Amino acid sequence: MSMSRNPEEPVYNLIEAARVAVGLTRQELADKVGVHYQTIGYLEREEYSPSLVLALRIANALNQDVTEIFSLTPLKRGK
Amino acid sequence: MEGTTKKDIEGLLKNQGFNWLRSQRNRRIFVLGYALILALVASGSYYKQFKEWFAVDSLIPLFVLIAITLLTLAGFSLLRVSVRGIAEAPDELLDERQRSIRNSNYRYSYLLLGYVVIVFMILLSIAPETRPFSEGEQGDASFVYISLLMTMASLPSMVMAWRERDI
Repeated sequence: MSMSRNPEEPVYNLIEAARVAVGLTRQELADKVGVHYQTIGYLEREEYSPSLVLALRIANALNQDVTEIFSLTPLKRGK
Repeated sequence: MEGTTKKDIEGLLKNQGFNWLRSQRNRRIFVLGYALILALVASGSYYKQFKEWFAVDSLIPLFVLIAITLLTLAGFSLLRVSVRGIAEAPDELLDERQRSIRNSNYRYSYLLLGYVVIVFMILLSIAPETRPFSEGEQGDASFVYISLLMTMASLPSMVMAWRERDI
């Protein structure tokens, strides 16, 4: 399978939770950050690791700091 | 056949139809079917040999040849639809993930291309006449050349359709 994710060092994220919290659909978030909606899906399933630029764009779109959305260690989901 | 304008590629990237082509399993079956069609096209160069071997007056009626031609063209178009035109799209129309899978699949396509050329060189060495579109007694290798050109044009999309899980 062709993915940009390094299986030895995954990048975890809370994109889906943050996206739902601000009321955005995948398509809307994709339009805001300039990617295809499927790429948002891949990101949320952690099957693709974004570039720094894309990670910063996503964090800005979700009104959060990039370190609150992305991490090299597993993140706690839900409250 | 779809063109390669910006509007066409953007339409392919947003295409919501042809859902049966969105699963990897279906796309793999489609790729195998399309490869079979390309093999049938190449076999047209051995039409007269087949007639002699099987002692039949007309092995492939004209309508079958027309059907194979139409299937080749339709298959090529559907192949591009199945991968959303990503294989031929320029950088500025793709996001980073799509560029990544396009570049990765081009690398594999290039590796495969060597083997494809070897196969066709073998076919041409045993083709009845290697000069294309000639009127030799035993036929010509035109169909082999046509199949080779179609294979080379389709290879990146075929590799992408085979390898990618979701497009």
